[in-house]
Amino acid sequence: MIQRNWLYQTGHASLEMGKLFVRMFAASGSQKVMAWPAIERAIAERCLPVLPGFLLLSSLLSLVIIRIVTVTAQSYGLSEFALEVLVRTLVLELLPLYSAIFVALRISLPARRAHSDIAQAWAGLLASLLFTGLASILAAALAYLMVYGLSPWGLGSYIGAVGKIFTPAMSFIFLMKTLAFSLAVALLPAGLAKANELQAFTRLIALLLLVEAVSLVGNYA
Amino acid sequence: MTPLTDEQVGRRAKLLIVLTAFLLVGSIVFILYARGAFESSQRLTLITEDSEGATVGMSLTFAGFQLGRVTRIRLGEDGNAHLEVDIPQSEAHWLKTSSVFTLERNLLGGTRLKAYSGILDDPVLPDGAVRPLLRGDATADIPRVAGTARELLENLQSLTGSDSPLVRSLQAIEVASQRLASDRGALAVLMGNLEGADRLQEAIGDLQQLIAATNEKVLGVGPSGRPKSADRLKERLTPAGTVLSDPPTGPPASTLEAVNETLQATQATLRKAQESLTKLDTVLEDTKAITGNARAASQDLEQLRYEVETSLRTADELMRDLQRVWPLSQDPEKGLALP
Repeated sequence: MIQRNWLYQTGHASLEMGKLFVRMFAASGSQKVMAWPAIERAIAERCLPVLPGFLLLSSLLSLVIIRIVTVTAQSYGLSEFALEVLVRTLVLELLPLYSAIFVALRISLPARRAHSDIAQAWAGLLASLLFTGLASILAAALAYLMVYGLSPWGLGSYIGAVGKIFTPAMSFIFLMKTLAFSLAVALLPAGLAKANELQAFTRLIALLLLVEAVSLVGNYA
Repeated sequence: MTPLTDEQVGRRAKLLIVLTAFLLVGSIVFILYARGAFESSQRLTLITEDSEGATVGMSLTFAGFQLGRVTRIRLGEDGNAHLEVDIPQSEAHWLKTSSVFTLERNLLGGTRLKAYSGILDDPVLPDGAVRPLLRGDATADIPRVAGTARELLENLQSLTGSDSPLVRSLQAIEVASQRLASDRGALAVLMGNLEGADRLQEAIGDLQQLIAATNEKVLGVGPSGRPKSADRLKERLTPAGTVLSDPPTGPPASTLEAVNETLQATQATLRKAQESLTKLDTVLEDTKAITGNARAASQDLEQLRYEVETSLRTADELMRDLQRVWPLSQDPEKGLALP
């Protein structure tokens, strides 16, 4: 009974999310013109206020992890691998997941009954992409500063190391994963219109972890 | 919070959208730049028998700096691995025609591809050059090292086994050191067993007692710095000797008294000699117990005996002379008996 209920709910949510996705991208020109002011308002009112808090939190998280990794690597005499480990763990895996959760909790889910759903979806999508990009760049810069300090002479080798990590396949999977996270965050409210807070959060985490697992398989399997 | 005007909303939303687009495009461009997509590069092909550990994307370093990157590894028609390396034009001048390339495998960490340019005046490596790749493998020696280590361990095992010569020697040393630490000390080690050491100690003790007894009995004094027994005997016998040195010239009445005194003196001397003789007897009995180690002492004793004998013979002659010149007693066998 429970399983049938769960299946029904999941199917219904997926259907609603699909409908929203189609409406987001396949709307006719006149509808788009109609929706544009609402989209702009959603983006400006929902994304901008939470941006400073997000940057503060994400840089704090990054600093803690960077510090742990560099100190550990140094104690084992493996400092040369610290930057690679940091870029792989922070930029590629942790920060996109963290950004998606943050955007979902602060932007998408709270307003799932309040705003026009298309505008809300676009705001969530844009916020997720923007926050992920900003957090990744911030973390990369912090990692460089923690390892090399303010000296510019490590820049060449650091850029080389980053270039070595972002192989074409890795870059493509990273891009796809970020897009999938953003879409999940954007479309989730449509599928969770009737769910309570806990259900919404659980489903959000499950969906994001599913995307993360698929990307990990693609990267390392 | 006052609601934003449409104009403010539009400006802020456009700013965010532009920022997002810029981030997306910028990231892609940055990654392309970091991977060297915008630099004209030249190709270098390195040939090696075994490309194990080499991966696409690994760096070719020169003096620790990255020069280029492996873009492709393929198995050539000659059965060798061909590593194709892309080197940016800006860095290519470090590679000379005389440069040497090595692939080093470490125990820990990745494999390293290195270039060494010894002569920097040589002409620059041309585009599309093909060079051999030398292998430096830290793990290649492991089987040989492991074999040697095993041999060493076996030797060590046979050396430290419970019945090995080393252990037996150590046990013997332990027994010897135990004996050294015992009451008998080095004697027990020299004699080989405790009983032998005991016997030697007893013998030395006996010898000491014997020497002490000899000193006491022969010289009548303590052990150190005393005149020899012969001298003392001579001293005792000298008065009789002086008497004997005078030739007898009949029995004149005037000399009777003198002779009588002389005889008394002689008698006393002889009594002392007799006492000495009895002492000598006991000494001789003791001397019988002397072992071979006491030869020096027995030599002294022989000399002493000889001297005593000489003295006795002298005394005997004196007595005979007395019997002849002084017919108080016809029978010399009766011994010295004065009227």
